[in-house]
Amino acid sequence: MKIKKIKKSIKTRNLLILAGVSLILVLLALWFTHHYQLWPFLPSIETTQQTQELQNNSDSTNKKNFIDSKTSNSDTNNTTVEPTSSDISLTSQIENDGSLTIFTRLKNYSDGTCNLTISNNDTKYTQTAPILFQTAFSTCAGFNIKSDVLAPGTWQVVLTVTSKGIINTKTINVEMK
Amino acid sequence: MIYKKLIILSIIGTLLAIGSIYFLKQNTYAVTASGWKAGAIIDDSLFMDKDSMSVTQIQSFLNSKVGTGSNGIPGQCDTNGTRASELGGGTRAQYGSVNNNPAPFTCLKDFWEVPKTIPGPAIPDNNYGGKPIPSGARSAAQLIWDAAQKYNISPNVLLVKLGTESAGPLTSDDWPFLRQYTYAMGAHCPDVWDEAQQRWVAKCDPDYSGFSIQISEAASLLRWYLDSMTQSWWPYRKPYQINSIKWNIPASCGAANVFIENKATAALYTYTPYQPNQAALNNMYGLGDGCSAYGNRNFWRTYSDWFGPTTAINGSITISKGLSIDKSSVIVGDTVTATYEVSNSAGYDIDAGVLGVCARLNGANYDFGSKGQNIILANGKIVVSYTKQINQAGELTIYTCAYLAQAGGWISNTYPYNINSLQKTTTIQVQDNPLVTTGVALSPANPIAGQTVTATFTVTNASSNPIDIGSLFIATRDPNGNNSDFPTDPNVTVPANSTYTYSKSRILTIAGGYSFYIADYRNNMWYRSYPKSSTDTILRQGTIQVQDNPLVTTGVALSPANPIAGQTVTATFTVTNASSNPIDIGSLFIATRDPNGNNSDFPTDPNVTVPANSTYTYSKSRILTIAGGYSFYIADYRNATWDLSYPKSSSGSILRKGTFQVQDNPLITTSVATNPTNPIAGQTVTATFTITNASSNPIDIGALIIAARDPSGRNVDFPMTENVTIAANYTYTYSKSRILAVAGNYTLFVSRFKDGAWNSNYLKVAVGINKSITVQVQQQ
Repeated sequence: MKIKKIKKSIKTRNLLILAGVSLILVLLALWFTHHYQLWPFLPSIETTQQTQELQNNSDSTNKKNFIDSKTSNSDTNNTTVEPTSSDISLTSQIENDGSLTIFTRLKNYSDGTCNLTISNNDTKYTQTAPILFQTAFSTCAGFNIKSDVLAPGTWQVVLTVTSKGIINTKTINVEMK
Repeated sequence: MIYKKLIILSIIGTLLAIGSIYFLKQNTYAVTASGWKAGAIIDDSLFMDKDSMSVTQIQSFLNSKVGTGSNGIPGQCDTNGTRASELGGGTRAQYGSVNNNPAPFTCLKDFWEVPKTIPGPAIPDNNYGGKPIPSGARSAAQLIWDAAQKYNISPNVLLVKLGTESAGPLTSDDWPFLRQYTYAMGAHCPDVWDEAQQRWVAKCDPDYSGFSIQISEAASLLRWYLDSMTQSWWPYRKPYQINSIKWNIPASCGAANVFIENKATAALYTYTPYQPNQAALNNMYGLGDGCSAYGNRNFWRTYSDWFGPTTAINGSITISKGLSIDKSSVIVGDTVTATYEVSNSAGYDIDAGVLGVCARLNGANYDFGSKGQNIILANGKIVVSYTKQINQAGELTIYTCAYLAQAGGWISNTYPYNINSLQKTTTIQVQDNPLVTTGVALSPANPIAGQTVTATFTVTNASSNPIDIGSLFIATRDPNGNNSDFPTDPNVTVPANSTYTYSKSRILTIAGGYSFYIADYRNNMWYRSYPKSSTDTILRQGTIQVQDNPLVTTGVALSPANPIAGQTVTATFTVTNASSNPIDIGSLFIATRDPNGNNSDFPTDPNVTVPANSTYTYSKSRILTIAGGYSFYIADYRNATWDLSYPKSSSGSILRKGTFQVQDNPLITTSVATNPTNPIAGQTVTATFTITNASSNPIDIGALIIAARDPSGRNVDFPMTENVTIAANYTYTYSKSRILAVAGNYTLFVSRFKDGAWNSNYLKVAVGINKSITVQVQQQ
């Protein structure tokens, strides 16, 4: 009877040790995974599979739309729209340091060159910059004239944009103070 | 026992669980709407990390991504279109035929194209559709990498852009059409309102058609955006400020303000100027509503899925001034200072980790230094600068280096982030120093054996630091290959910008060709080629010729010049030591052989030492006893060795060996004669002759007679004179009488008896003298 009790107490002690060791190991595992930013675990693998299917469906749709939108490999429908002067937007801003910044917005331009002429009755300055493409509108990159160049008075700003053999011009007047 | 097993199983299980989690972490990083930060889509440091992937890694990536779309098999390209088309219309090959793109299809991983570098309407040559790879073509992976390098954009970013801008997308499509490559990045495809379709469409510029120019232009545009966005004229999205960003093209969709935290995000919003609305974010892998735009959402999502978080560890720590060194050229001994600047663009302090300057000299570690805990204040910067004295020539590569524990250790290639493509590494050739600037010179320039020779050369240290060049000397080998090194100058340190002169002397004892080279001993090592010569014409090794010395300057002379046998002959010659040191030339004599080959050496002068710049005269006498031809040569005995050719003659006309003739002596100088000249039988006849000893020594002739034979051949000799010794330079007269009894012809001849033998040939005659006569005795 006594032997049985002793065996039971040893069993209990071993179970406690095992539980303790397991707990330490789990805590270690949690610390390790958290330390190395392995959790929180998002998303589940199931979710990933679902999102992959969604993605694949979306890609297939896009591909089909893309192919359907093209009549041939020559992509004739990609012929660019020929820009006109009305596609050029020209604005200016006098900065705090007195310099003049010229803002340009070019619709239907993919590439080309911008020539800026700024003149008054006495003086004429020119600058050149390439067209910087952007999907919504392109711009001339870019024009900023230092304050000591421009005397007070009215200046005529002429922007000539050349692209693929087409030349368009836009003119504004700027009042320097 | 069972508990032990349980414990072991628990440990294994836990480790497996950690491993599995880690593995999954490496392969999936799905994102959700809550992770989206409209103002910080991706860190600058990741966006502009051009070294994030190599060409090989890009190729591997493309290999792994192909076939991961609909109906595909990961890693495989459905080249022949045998699988069912997910777009309908039978197989993919059938669908392609109907839609003007018959199989075979060429997937991105296999696609090669000749780079199009100048805009123009032609689509560049490529290998699409099973065509051979054109000359000059580059793989898609290579084209992506090239663009990344040229414009300092991360290859990851270009891949993600390709994966989000192209139809298919090309990255995963396992049966792409050629037209999918044509405007793959949407570069130079402005949004244009299509009246017919009543919607915005992308009208691409044919001048930018082709995969290669699409990739390079996309990278170029991003770089333009990044570099221009802080200019005053910039009309697009700007970093570090609030921007109004539309949800989609139609103005009716509206816009929302976004504080853009970095340049990369501003560039993305410039390239694709819309932000995803909540509907798009809520359905991260699908569609949102009518105002949803997906470009930037898809970029963020795809980047995260493929490459992990879009935020980098210490992402705000960037190189703000590239690596520079304080010298344009470096020589050994120079002190080099390498400097770069690191900035923190975050609004809080950051420990940038270990920062330093590392280096490799000829491939070996040559780090300048580093230190940890580099706290960079919010929006602040620090200068990293280390100095090192270079002590070896060769190729020195200096680079910025960094250690960041949370990033896995040394990450010098990628950190601090180099978003402005500044210089992170530099390679210079460290030139040799010090150099031998004046080659080895000898004084005297043409030394002679036994002479003290001074050897000099100079070594110049052109660096700004003193250099310890160890011990210097001129290693020298004599004509026999034996060590004849000039003395060592130990522990030589050449001060900065100074020239050291080596000048050491030694006696080169033997004549002949010597080889030499400047030698150095440092750090327990011998160096034969250090220091190097400043130019090829500077002599640091070579040979020298040491002239013979001493030399026989007056050849062997005999006195008297034409000796006679028995005469005392004095032989002389002179030996001149032209060097500045006395020379022990051992024992000298004139080896002589008589006409019979017997030793007739002149006496030895033992232990002769010729003083510096002096001439020694050998002068020894001996009696040459027999007449005839003698041979002779000057002989030397030194170091227990006979040397028959030492000392040499100073010129060919100086006689150090030869032959001479010893004249006969004594000579019969008056012919044998009788008195009366014509005797009568029975008459007393006196016979005479004279012998002259011309030598300076008396000669013991022995016994002399005039031998006579009567007409019958009987001995009728004249009386003998015994013990005849003729004094020096004296003439002896033999005169003896006898009766010649019978008539007839008598033969008379001189004979000598010595040492128990008669010799009628011993006494020679002078010219015209007869030592034998016939006498006619008359009848009474």
